[in-house]
Amino acid sequence: MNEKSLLKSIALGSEEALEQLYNHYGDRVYNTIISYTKNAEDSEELLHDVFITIYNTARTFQFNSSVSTWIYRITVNKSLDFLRKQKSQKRQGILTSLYVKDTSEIKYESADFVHPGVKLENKEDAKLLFRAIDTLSEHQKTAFILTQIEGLPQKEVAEIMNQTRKSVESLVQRAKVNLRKELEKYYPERGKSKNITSD
Amino acid sequence: MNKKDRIEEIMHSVGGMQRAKAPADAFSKIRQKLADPPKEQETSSYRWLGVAAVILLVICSNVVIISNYYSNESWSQHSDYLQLTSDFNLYENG
Repeated sequence: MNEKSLLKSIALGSEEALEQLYNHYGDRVYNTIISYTKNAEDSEELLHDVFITIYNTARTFQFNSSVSTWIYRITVNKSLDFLRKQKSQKRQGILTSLYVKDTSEIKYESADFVHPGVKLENKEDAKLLFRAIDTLSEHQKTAFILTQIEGLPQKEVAEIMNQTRKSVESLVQRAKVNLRKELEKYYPERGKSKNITSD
Repeated sequence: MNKKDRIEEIMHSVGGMQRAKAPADAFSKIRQKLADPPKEQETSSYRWLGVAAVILLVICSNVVIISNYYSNESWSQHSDYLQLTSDFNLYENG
């Protein structure tokens, strides 16, 4: 069954069709989400949320774009929404910490996040790179994650982001420039240890 | 290794990485959620309805207070004027 007919079946309420779509896209969606959230539990929650949204909104799909583009678009939007919410909670947390003494249990993100797919020998470096990715703007972050981590072609990323291929190319370039600038801050003095702890 | 090379090494640390795998039981949890959707939305819409009702009440009471204030003021001004004209007999002939 092709993806469009799968989506038509989902629109009619078929959970089996949703399962087939999940088998094809589940890992891709999860991989994208975890690159944004840097937390396995939040990523699983968002993964559920993405497929529930697909199930509930399949009937509104216009077939103007590919199913893959639509799923990635939902995934990116949910991930960015999550980050915005997390940011505002963080802001509230700072205010709360001014009045509440015991705020040690408030934990927003893991500074020691290592993407599960990274090679063992690159884990420490990837930890730094993901910390630097956090500092990028939403557009640059999305362009970088989709092209460099998810490995999508720029053309598809352009469709997902509703941008031209040229602007995605420039977003990726600017993201790389900014990441290098950010990494310079983390880089230790010459001759010191390669590993940097997050403190 | 110099700083520039080190940064390039970090930049390429995600090269050749594998895709993260979704938890094995994730789809059964999705099925469970589809069968039993959370009632959170309903609660939040009731909460917003409550907030709207309070705002409406505050606006209405303010309108009532302000309109009462102005109607009393205009009446008191009018009565002051009557008092003044009668005290000095401004328009009385003879």
